[in-house]
Amino acid sequence: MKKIALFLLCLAACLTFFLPACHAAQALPPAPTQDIYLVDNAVMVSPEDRQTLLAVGKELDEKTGAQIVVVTMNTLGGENLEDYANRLFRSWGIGRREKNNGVLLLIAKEDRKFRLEVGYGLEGVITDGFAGEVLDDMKVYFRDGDYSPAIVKAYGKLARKAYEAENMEVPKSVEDAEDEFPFWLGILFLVVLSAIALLLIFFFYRVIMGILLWGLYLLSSGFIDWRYDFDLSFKDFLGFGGGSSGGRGGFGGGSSGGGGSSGGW
Amino acid sequence: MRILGVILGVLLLVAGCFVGIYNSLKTARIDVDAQYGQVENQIQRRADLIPNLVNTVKGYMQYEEKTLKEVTEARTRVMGAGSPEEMAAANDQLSGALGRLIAVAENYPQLKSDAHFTELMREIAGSENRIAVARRDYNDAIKRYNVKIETFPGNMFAGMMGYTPMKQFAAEEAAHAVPQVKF
Repeated sequence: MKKIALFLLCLAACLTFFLPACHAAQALPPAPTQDIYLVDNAVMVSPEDRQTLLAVGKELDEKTGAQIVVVTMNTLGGENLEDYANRLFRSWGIGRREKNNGVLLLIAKEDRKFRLEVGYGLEGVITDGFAGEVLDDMKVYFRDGDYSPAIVKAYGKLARKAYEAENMEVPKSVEDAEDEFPFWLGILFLVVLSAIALLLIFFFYRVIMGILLWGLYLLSSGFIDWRYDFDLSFKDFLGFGGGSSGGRGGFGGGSSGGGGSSGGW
Repeated sequence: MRILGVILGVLLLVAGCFVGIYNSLKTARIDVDAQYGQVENQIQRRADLIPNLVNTVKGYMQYEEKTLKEVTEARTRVMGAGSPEEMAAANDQLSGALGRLIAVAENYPQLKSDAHFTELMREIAGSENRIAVARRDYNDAIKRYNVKIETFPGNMFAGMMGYTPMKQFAAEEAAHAVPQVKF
């Protein structure tokens, strides 16, 4: 009995010796499990742009395995931007392990600093010089507070490079993201559209009322069952229809050696 | 017969342990060497940008011969460095010389608006950061290796394998404080 106790004691002592010494640095946020291409902690991207960005990111991931991730945060809390970006990149493992084809765009809103960290595998196409250019273009928008369009635009440019790295054709969605027009143009477009609609209603008042009344008649007579006929189309329209998203989900274990560029605005 | 089996089993177990410890030490050592290769690569990468930079800058700064000469000399020292200590010292010297060059460049607005110069400075800033990352990885690898060879059971083997503790890649953190270029 004594011998067993002694043995257990030795075992416990050994275990404490061999347990790896964990060194603590500032805690990193856990990797996101869904919508991994945009972690918008500082709320800088509009809901529409968010959808655009996520769609481009997902398509790129599925076609090439490259992962471009945008992370916004309020402040770094005094930590060095480059160190934090590199640690976050490696801890999440952005890009595929065997290709290291990840990109991280880290934006610290209140510090007015950002960094583009590029994985080993994409350093060839996204050179430090190009990364610096992308950030410089963002600066102009950021100074006016136009975060959302600038981020989507930058995302489009990076995605284009990632496709080019694989000698693949750049899809239309990427071009659309690059051509992202500024917010005020969108507003103008809406104003013009509603003005035209108002004019049409004004001039064709009788015709429209006629159609509406006819529609009401059809509904009331039971010719159209709206619960059945509209259910499907609404779902398709909103894009919620298709069950779970087909992506592999999660990051691929890529690494970065500190390539890229940093800047501020 | 049974006793023989037990002895054989124990022997096998001990041999297994030995192989495990040996491999673990060896792996740590290989990791250190690989990470040092990475440090060398990145330092080399920055040094390779220097001739191009000097050529670009020359056209604009006629009166800064001394600063340019310092940079070129520091580069030559980096290229000729053998041991990690020499490399660290030479690289720090290059960082210092580059910092002075960038400070002088502030006085030449035309140079700062040169697209080629801008591109080169970005590449150099990127290189500085890569060096910092590689150095951190190298030092982490050394730390793991040192812990392994100085604690039980690794310390019993380290002597036999001729493994001694290694020094971290010396370069004070200040050297990494990259002079920021504002355009």
